[in-house]
Amino acid sequence: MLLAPVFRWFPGWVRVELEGGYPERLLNAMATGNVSMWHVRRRGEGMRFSCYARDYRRLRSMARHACMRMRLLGKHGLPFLLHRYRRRRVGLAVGLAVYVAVLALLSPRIWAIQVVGNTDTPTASILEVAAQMGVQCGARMNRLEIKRLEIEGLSQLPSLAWITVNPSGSVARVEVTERRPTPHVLDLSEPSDVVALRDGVILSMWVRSGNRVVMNGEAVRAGDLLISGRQETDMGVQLYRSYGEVWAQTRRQITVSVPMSYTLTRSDGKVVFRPTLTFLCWNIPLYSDGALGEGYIHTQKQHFLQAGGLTLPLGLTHDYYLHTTATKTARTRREAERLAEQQLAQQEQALFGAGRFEELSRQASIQEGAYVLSVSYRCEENIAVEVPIGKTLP
Amino acid sequence: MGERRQPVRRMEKAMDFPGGTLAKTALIEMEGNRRLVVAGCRGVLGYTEDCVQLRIPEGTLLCYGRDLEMGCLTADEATVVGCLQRIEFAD
Repeated sequence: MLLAPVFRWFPGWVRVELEGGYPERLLNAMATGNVSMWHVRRRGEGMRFSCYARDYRRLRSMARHACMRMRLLGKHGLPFLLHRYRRRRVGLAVGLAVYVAVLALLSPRIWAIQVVGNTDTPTASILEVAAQMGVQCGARMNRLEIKRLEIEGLSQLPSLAWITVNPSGSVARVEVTERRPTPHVLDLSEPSDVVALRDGVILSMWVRSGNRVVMNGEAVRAGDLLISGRQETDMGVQLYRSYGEVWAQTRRQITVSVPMSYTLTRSDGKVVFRPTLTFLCWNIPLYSDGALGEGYIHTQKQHFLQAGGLTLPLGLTHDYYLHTTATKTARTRREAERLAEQQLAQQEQALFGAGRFEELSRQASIQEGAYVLSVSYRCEENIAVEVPIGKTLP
Repeated sequence: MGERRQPVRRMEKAMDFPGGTLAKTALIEMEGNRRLVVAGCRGVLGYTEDCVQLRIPEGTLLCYGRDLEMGCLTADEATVVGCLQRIEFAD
């Protein structure tokens, strides 16, 4: 039932009303004359039905023989649609040609790139390497060098075990598998000693290989031997690789310096807006002003079309250039102290990490236009460092 | 019309063929009371909103009902659509 209207639409059909005469005679004449009709409906003295447009001319003579007056109620279908737009024939032809050209030009190209399978390797770096191999928006899908990407891509991204491109319509799906890290295996073939990284008092030792040279509570200096890889035997001297952990109490000092004056960059409210239209690999600037001078802070916002979770290569990039002025500003001592405390906390975290530390003394002063904060610590840290036998600390 | 005067129909019956195989007869198919398809229809004798008279080899088929409409009409087939109430055969 749904298909019949479609098949009737292409050749075109008309709705006709007839009055008076002998409707039965007309119906029989149409049936014997192979004139297809449907939706035949009687309305009082009149009758309405639909038939193909090509049969309409024949219908006139049949209606005359049946003594009926015929009236056209409606015309439907493709021929009437084309007739309505006959004056726009050139425009329709051009539109059709443009449609075919756009389809032929754009459908074999990459519209979106999707990276699948990465967790630790950044998507941006994978896309960068893929772009070097030709996998980028606007490139022709059938000219992709997939084998080259599989070989050269792996050499450029050592964290990957496998990379390939699966074309899926206009989407290039870059599928990767990341390399699983192999467990660290100690190389026991190279003999080594463990020496102290800095001065301290030994608290505890955990020797996994080699001969312990120092005892707990003993004071050591940087470079002193802690665990030896040399073993005296009846056969002579044998060399081993020594390793382990040596926890010692050490003293450390952190000094932070905060200038009392600084350059403050402040916006004066002037913003230069530069939009760019991006389509596939083409960027069309939608601005005409020239190069900007110095003193601008640049921010960028991208507005690209999305479809099914994919970013399409059509959108606008908004570049905002905020004009700023630099002024010399003085800090108060309290501001400098607060800033110095923040920097100190960051350095403590970076220096000691998981180790224990205790603050012994602190000294603050203003020297040469800067607030200088110097703090001494007593720490507990692993001072063991492995060096090849016969060599000293660098 | 007696069966004696129609040898083709007698042969059809003797050979146990389905009706309409050899003899010209109307095959009528109904979908509830909404649609009636008559294969072997030889023309329309009368058509109003309440009654459609069709000529069939056996005589006349009268379809009574409301809002009757000829769904489709060809040289040997007619379709009557609407609310069918009664059908009758007449010589």
